[in-house]
Amino acid sequence: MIPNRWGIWDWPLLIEKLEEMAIEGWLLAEYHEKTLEFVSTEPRKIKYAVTFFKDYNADGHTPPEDLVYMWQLCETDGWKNITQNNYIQIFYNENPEAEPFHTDVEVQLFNFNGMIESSLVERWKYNAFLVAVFALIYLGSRVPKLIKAFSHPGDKATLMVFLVILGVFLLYELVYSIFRWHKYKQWHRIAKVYAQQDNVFMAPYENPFYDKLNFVVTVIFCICFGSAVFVLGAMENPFGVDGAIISLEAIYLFVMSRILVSLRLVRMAEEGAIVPIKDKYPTSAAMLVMGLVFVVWIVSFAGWKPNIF
Amino acid sequence: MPREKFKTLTEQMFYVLLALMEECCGMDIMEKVSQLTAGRVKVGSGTLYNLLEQFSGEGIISETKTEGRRRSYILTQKGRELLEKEYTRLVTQAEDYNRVINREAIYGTDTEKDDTQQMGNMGLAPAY
Repeated sequence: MIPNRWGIWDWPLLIEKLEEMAIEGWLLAEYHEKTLEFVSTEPRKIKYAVTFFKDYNADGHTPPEDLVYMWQLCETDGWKNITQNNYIQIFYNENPEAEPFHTDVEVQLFNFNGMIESSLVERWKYNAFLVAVFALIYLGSRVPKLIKAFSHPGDKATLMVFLVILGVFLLYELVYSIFRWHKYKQWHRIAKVYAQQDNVFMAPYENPFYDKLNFVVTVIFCICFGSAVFVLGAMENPFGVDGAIISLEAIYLFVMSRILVSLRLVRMAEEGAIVPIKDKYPTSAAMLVMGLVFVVWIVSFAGWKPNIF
Repeated sequence: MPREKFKTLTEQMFYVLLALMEECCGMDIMEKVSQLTAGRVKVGSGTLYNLLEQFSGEGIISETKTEGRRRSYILTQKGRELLEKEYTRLVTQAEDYNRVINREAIYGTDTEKDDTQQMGNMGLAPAY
C-alpha cells in the first residue's frame, strides 16, 4: 500500500507510476482517495489507462448500466477495468503493444471537462448543505433567545454586527468560488486549442497562490473569532450577554462550516497542482484550529470565565 | 481560439460517424473503422465509448437495440447533416489545395516567377 499522492489532474504521472510498479512485480488492486493498494504479481510490462465516468460512483454501489457497458466495450480491446473511485476509472491491458485506450485528445478533454463540471457541482451542493445544516441547528436552538435579543438595544447592535460579518463571509465564499471557476474555464479554453492543434493534453495550470492565500485567510479568521469567543465570554459584555453570545455562537458555527468549505477547496487545490499542496499545508492544521475553536466554544457556552482579566 | 464542439470533426469522429451510416453494434465499430481506412485510423475503446456517449447526448446518433451486452447505434438525420457538412468542408479544402498546386505547376512558385521575370528583363527566354 502506498499513499495516493496523485489527484485527478495528475493522471499521466499516476499511469507512469503504476507501470513502473508493474515492472517491479506489483499490480494495482484498489484505488482509494488516500491510498493505492497493490497485489504481488509476476514482474511484466502492463499498460494502464485512466478515464472518468460521468456520474459519481461511490465504492460499494451497484454500478449503473452505462458503466457496465463501458467496461464490456473496453474489454473487447483487451482493456480490463481494475478499480474505480468516485469518477475515476482505471483500466489495464496485459498486452504492452495494445492500441492506446485514448486515441483522440479532444475527446479525452471533453470527458475530463464533463467530470470536472460534475464534481464541482457536487462540491457546491455539499458546501451549501453544510452551511444550511449549521444555520438550521443554530436557528433551531436559539429562536427564543433571538426573540428576546431584539428587545435589548445592545443586542440589536450585536446582531447587526453578526449579520455584516456573516454577509462578508458568504460574499467572500461566492467571489472565491467564481474566481476558481473562471480560472478553470480559462485553462479549459487553452487546453482545447492544444488538443485540437497539437493533439496534446495540456498540463494543469499551476497557480496555487490564491488557494494557499485562501487557506491562510481562513485559518486567521478562525483564530481571531475563536479568540473573540474566548475573550468576550470572559469579559462583562457591554452590549448584553445574550446578544453577544448568540452572535458569537453564530459566528463560530459559520466559521466552522467555512473551515469545512475551505478544506474542500484545499482538496480541490491539491487536485489542481502537480505537487500536491497537502505536502506543504496540511489539512490537519485547519482541523486543529477547528478543534480549538470548538473547545473554546464549549467552554464559553458552559459559562466558565478564566481568571485572567 | 478553440472551435465549438463538433463544429469540425477529428478523424476519429468522422470515421465513427461514417461507420454508423448503417446500423452497427458498438463493439464492431472499431473493426469497421479499421477496415474503412485500411488500418490507417484506429479508435481506442476509451475514445469510442466517450464518442458514443457524446454523440448520443447531442442527438447525432441513436441507439436502435440492445441485445444482452451489445448495443447498436445508427446515425440520426442530424448526424447525417453533420457528416455531410464535414465532407463538404474537406472537399472544399482538397479543391483549394489542388488549385494552388496546379497553379504552381503552371506558373511556378513566387521565387521561380521572380527568376523568370528577371530573365525576361535580360532578354532571355524562360526555361519552360
